Amino acid sequence: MEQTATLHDRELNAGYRMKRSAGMAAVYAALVVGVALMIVPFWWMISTSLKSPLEILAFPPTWIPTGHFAERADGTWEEVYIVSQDETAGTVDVRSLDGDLERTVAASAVVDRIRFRFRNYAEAWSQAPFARYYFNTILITVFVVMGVLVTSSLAAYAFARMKFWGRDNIFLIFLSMMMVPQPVYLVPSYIILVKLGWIDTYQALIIPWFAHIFSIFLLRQHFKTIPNDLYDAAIIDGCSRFAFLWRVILPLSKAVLVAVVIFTIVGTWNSFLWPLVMTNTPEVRPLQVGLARFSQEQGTSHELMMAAAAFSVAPLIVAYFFAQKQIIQSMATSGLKG
Amino acid sequence: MRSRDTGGGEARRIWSRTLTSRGRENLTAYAFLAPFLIIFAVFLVYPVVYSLYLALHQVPSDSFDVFGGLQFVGLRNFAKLFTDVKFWWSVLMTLYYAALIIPSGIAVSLALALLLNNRLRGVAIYRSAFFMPYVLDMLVIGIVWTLIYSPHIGILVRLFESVGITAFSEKGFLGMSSIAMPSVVFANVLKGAGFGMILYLSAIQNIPRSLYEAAEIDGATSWRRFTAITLPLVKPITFFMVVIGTIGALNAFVEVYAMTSGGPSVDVGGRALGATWVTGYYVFDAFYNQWRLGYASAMSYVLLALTMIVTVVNRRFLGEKD
Repeated sequence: MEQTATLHDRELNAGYRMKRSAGMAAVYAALVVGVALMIVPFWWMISTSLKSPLEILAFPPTWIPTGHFAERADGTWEEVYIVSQDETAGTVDVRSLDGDLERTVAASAVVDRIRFRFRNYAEAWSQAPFARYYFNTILITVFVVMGVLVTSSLAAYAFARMKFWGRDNIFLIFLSMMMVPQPVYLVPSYIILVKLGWIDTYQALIIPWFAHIFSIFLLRQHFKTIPNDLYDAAIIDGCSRFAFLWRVILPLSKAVLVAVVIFTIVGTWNSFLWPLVMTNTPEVRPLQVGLARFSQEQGTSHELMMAAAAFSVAPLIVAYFFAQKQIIQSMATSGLKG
Repeated sequence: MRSRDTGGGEARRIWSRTLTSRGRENLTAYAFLAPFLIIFAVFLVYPVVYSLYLALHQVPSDSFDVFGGLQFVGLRNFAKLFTDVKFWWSVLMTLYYAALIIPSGIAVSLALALLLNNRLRGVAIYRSAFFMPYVLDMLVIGIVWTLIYSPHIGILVRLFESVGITAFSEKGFLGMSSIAMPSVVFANVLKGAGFGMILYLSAIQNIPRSLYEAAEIDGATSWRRFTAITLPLVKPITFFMVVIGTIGALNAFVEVYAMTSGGPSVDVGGRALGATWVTGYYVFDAFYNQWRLGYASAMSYVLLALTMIVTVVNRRFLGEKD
């Protein structure tokens, strides 16, 4: 259907044009529905995070956080909730949000206003050591990225440009290891980390992630495209292998390295099962695990839960906003590892 | 290790004298590989082997000593597994999950790609909006959808109520055994569709225009052009989507953890089983909640075997090349 729209522009006649514009209207309608479906969960997260506990129960539900306000005796306004309504008398009983003071006012004296309860964020933030979780996640992510860059570029260089015993077999083993389901690693890795004394340490959440097979695969593909002449010239100039990798190959591979950095950041930021199992205390616990704990402890405070969820994903959303093109490209390649 | 191949000087001279150039190349290569290889061996290869060892053992119920306390039990864990209704149910639920998520994921991705393949204003905006959830983590998405699906206050329940459908009001979408799994899948499809969309979009844009023009001259309808030209030419992407969808189903955990914890309970022949009790979650549960290390290992090995079978079957039936 979409092809009709792009074809034969030169042959447009009246009927065709009408058909085409009707088709395009349908396309735009479908797109709007699609975008709405994608955005609504986020909208709902943000909107709920800015509501008062009572507003969450309100019927009909509010899409934009709204509160009832009543005028105080001194002319200032305060947020209230409505206890009961007397239709015939035209009055409502209201109670202020912070106190128990109940009073009766004229229905016309209560107005609805959009207001955002940002204090939910402060409250959620203070109810669990989120600052610590944030620090942990950033620290872990930074180190994993650096480690992956070092181990992967060295290994990828060896695979791409050196001949050594067992090269092709080792590479094949690498690729087949990518198929092993995550749950297989769970129990043995836990015991290995216990034996190393690494449970509840940063290294448990960092070092095992240095072995990132797909980065090697991607970098190797790129390194192979760099012409051999460069290497020959460098060797004549007395350049060592390592210096050649550092001074020539890596500067020529910036785009691929950026991709590796992006999908390593996203992967590390979002990793959950591993840190859940390998940490018991808040000291080294990353954000995602902290969030899961918070959700178990929090239970019914939806507005606090959504505030916590919102500030957990905020860095990725902000980063996505600024570097969408790069991120889409990198993530799309990283998914190609199957 | 690195100083040996970077630093010049004495060490280098000695080493060039004592080794053939081939041996030297071997050593240098392994020096480059070493940082990766050590971590790979300790954290990726060894655990897989060790897991098999664990599968043949059990931790006595009174012992929390993971080292000394292991008892050799031979194949007993596997024998137990094969008579464990809960396990076979989890395999069935994993298949159900895969059967729901693979076709719907492909359909939504392809539909989005076809939409974006039009000459549109602001294609980049739509593409960004569709792709964004893929970057975010399943846990947060799961937490948000849990609220959306929840009974009484959930927005979805209320939308249905506003058109007079109250069937979901009492238990919410995740509390009803018949629709819990489709609901988990729906949230997940929306999260992942942007990724498939990008793959399909680039495949579609690589199809030569002339094919469509020729077909149109021959009087092919747009539906016919879609089924006879587009679909066959994006088949490699579809194959890829089936493969990663299958692997995703065998690895499914976070979505279940965040939304249902394997529930809600469903009555099967007098036994209470979980409506979203996938194998990935059962392995976690056996290990983390029940501390049955040997049993969890045995189960994960069956999962590994299933992965291998599925991979071979996929290769055989769906396509010869990647």
